[in-house]
Amino acid sequence: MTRYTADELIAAIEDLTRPRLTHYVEMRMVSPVISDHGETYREVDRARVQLLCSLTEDYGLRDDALHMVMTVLDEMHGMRGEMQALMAALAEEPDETRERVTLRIRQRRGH
Amino acid sequence: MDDPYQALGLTKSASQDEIKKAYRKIAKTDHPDLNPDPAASERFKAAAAAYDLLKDPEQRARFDAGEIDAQGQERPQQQYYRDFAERGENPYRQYSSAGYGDFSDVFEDLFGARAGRGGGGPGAGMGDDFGGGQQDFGGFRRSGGGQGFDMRGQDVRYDLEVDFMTAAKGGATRITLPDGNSLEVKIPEGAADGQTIRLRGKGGEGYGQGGRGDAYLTLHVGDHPDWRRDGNDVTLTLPISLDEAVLGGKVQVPTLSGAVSMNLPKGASTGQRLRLKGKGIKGGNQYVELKVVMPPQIDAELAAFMEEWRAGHAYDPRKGMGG
Repeated sequence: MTRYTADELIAAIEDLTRPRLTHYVEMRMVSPVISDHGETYREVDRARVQLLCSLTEDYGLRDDALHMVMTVLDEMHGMRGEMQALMAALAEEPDETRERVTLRIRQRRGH
Repeated sequence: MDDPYQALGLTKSASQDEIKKAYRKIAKTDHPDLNPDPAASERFKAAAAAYDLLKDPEQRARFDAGEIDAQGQERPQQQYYRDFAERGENPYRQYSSAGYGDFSDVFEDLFGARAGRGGGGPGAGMGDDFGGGQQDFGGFRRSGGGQGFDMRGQDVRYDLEVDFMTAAKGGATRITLPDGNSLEVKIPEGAADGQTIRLRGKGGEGYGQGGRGDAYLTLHVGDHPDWRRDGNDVTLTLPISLDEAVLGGKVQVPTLSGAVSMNLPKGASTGQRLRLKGKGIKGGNQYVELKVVMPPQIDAELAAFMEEWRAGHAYDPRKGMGG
């Protein structure tokens, strides 16, 4: 399991600076793992900070706007993951079941 | 990648500034975290690789001069946030079954009732281990004058790593929260991975007269090279010498509460498990898994003895394995 210290994280991400990381942590947009020997960052944190930097740099998003976008993205990615799991499960069902579910969905969605 | 300039929609004459701008532009539209289209992802990957090659003027000059080629310059396969965020265990997801109305039960049956984990999602399906904390959520009230209002601070959630022994035996660990708050946290004996500890009043600042929120620490118990744990039972891997394995006898065995003496049977083998009743966590058992360790050097005497021994006592531990 890869772990990064704050310094390693800053070295790994082009647009990341110490004040920026501190700000993201203070805003609780990224949450390092705590232990009695300090804070460390996981791969998921690395990827998240990378995205935060890119939203900050490329879109000029700050604080509230950044927070809102991340909340929506978390929800969207999470739902996409759930949808994929649901579809994978459905794909393994017999044709008859899938047809019944398809029909129900079409009725609900009105097309 | 054949032509990094082409990947960025540029020509060789582009300035460093144009290269950066072109990359940013592609990142803006095609970033895999924002655009689910696989074609966009491909464009982004090519642009990122091109940018990595060209962003450093010296490296770019060497490429332009033909000293290095574009191959092998690709970024190591990098995981985007999306790759983590689509998984069930994304620690930053705040709510899931919210918004499914009458079908939230169906949702939770399918995907599991997730705790409201994210940084600031108070109340969103907090798990049972928060013991009544839920009633405290959102306890804001308008103040008499109608000016401003008092609201309890946000509850915040952190992940806390504790080492194997602290979790098994219980103890205290001194930590600094990301908000700078330094404090000692009591870890209960037998703390389990995933267990939550509530720190009352260590969350976000309240508004007006409102008190601070609470901090919730989700425990992550670390591995130990010699110890393993299964609930309240623990297993220790105990190295024993060749002569101890053959002859048996008393050996000193570390337990969670100091060393004890244990009887080793004659002819003990690697993998054999012995039980120390009640020496686990809170009355659980400790198992001792033996591991026979050869002497660091096989001296002439031992080798000679073995040669002689083998002549009359050879045995085949692989008998019946076939193959």
